Amino acid sequence: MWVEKHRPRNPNTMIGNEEVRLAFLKWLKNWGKKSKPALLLGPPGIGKTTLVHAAADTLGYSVLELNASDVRTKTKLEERLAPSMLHSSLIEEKLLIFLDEVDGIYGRQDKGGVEFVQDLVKGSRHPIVMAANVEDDKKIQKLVKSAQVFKFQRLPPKLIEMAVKNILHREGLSLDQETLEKIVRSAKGDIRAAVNSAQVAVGAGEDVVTDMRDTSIGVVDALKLFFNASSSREALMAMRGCGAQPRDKIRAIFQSIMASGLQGEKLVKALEALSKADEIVEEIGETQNYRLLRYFDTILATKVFEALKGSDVHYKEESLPWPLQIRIWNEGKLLGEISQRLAAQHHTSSKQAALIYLPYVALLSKNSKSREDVVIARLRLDESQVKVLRKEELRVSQEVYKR
Amino acid sequence: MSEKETYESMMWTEKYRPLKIDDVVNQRAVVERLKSMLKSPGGMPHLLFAGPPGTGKTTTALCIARAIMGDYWRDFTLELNASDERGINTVRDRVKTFARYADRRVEIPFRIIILDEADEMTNDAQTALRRIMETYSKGTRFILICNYSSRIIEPIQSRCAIFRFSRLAEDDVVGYLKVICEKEAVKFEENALRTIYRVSEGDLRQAINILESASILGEVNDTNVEKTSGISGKAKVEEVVKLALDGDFKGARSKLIELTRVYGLSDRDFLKYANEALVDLNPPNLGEASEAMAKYDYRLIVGAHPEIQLTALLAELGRIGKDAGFKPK
Repeated sequence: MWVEKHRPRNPNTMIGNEEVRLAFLKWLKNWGKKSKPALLLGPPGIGKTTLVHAAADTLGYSVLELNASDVRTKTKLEERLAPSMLHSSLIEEKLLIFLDEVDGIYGRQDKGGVEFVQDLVKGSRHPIVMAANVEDDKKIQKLVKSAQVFKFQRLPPKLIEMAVKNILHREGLSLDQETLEKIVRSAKGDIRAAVNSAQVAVGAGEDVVTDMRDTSIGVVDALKLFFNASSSREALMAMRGCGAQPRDKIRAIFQSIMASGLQGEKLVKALEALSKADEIVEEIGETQNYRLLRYFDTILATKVFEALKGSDVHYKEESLPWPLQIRIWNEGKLLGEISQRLAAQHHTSSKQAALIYLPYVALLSKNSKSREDVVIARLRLDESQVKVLRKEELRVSQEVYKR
Repeated sequence: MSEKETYESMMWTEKYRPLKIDDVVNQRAVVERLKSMLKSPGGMPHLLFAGPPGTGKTTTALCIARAIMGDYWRDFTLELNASDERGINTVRDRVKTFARYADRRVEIPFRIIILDEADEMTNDAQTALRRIMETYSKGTRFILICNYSSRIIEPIQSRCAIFRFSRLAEDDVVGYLKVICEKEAVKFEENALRTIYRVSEGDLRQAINILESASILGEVNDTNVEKTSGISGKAKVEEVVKLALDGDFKGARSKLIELTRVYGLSDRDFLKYANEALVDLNPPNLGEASEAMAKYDYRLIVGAHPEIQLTALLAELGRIGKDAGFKPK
């Protein structure tokens, strides 16, 4: 990708944000154990990450980079950081710790992330640089107070145009002025976006396709290959080539099995393996042990695939019987509302009310108009809720008399 | 509509819900302890009620509120249900608003917060709850209600006086049902009341619902009890398990989807009732079936997809039923 290939290696060859860039270089040059950490704030694609690497390079630091997707919890942060923070090696290595996307650390799951970063930066034996996109975030505010802040601005269109032209020139390519201006305009000050669009626009064919991460096939095509595969190996290739989320793969395979009407031992085995794969995915979500993911495609391609061998399962969306679908759409929500009101009358939860009270209230209402009136009045049911209650009355009483 | 015909006076479960602790069916040990505690209500600690469903836990909690606050009890009692609240933060917000509300017309020692199904809360939520309890303990008392006290974290247990409600005995339930029948002038067969006890497994709330429905069909006899006991959600789950063991995977699955997606049955409740049903049905290889159920239950605890997991369970029950030559009645 051009953005990698042409990423400036020297801070002086970067463009835009001149003063901040120099200020940051100065900060790193003069860094001492009492220095505050640096916090780079600014919109994406203006060179924060590039600057950190280029500056570190020039001043002889190696960079330990962590971004939000690597470290999502305090324990994970600790694991990754603690060794370099605590142990001074015999040969003092010049190390710069770079926490990219710190605004991403503060998701719901990132318990203690911000507090930990605060603890961490106190008394660090290495310079610490953080980068974030937003500054109005409350939690970022905490960090702003204890850090030296470097604010970056969006790049002006002229500079972006210059940079893109420069890259095109080095690639021995060119673009017509109109396209170029369009690219610059739509990039809205994000140089990375502009370079990417330019690469696509010149149709730097091969290059784009091989380098872009998104060469994967969609889940539908992958499943067609998967179900038609003649061996586990082929099935594995189909799954690996698919960039879809693991959950979507599971869901699609499940739907296909259900739609196929598969039965007997094959059904049991296939569902058991699929359920295991599902468990692994959730376990990964829970523990953030992403490396377990490597087993995921294999389970699908071996256990699930082998269970399905010789059966007639094809990619298909399952469709539930029509009357059931209608009930789910039309009645599910209203019955939920009725149950919620029943729950308040009976000092219980709405789930329990739906199981224990709703059928009896419906049956009793069916048999007594005056009771139905009280129920409707007391639960303050509106027209559509009444309609669904009456359907329920009918259903329950049919069931009772059928027995 | 006559004035007396209110909802509470109609549904027998509410009409015959005891208002005074003394009237709570059985649970004598619990009642005695609570009564001596209520002699000086100011010293009441937080309470934890544990026990099977339909044994009087919620009723007792409401009786306590009434005993302490008299006519104003509704104003000073907050009923929360853990499974209905969206997360611990909404619980905190509701407790906060409730605790702040001041009404100086009446003198009460404290407000009462009844938190039902507390054992449905995750450990994290319980930890947060513990802090909430501490923050507001000056002017409020919590009554936590659960089925299993072991699912309540230690720090909360140690802050509460624990009361264990036991499963009601057959004679207690039958006796109470008889009282209702006499007051309502309903014709009943003694044996049918025993059948109600059996199918409701000692759950008085369920028993009363069945009684009232059977009475509306004419009289309370075995036929009518059987008819009306089959419409409860629990009975529906049992049907799903039967179909699955019988090898009707499609039928079982479509019933399961109806229960979960139309009636909002949770996967936890499904497994709870399915497990009871399985034990009742008692297939020859019950152990194997239980193991299968435990396996999928575990996967659900990890957070796996309920529909996939429960569907896989139904398929596996089918194989287990077939292996055992199981034929449900």
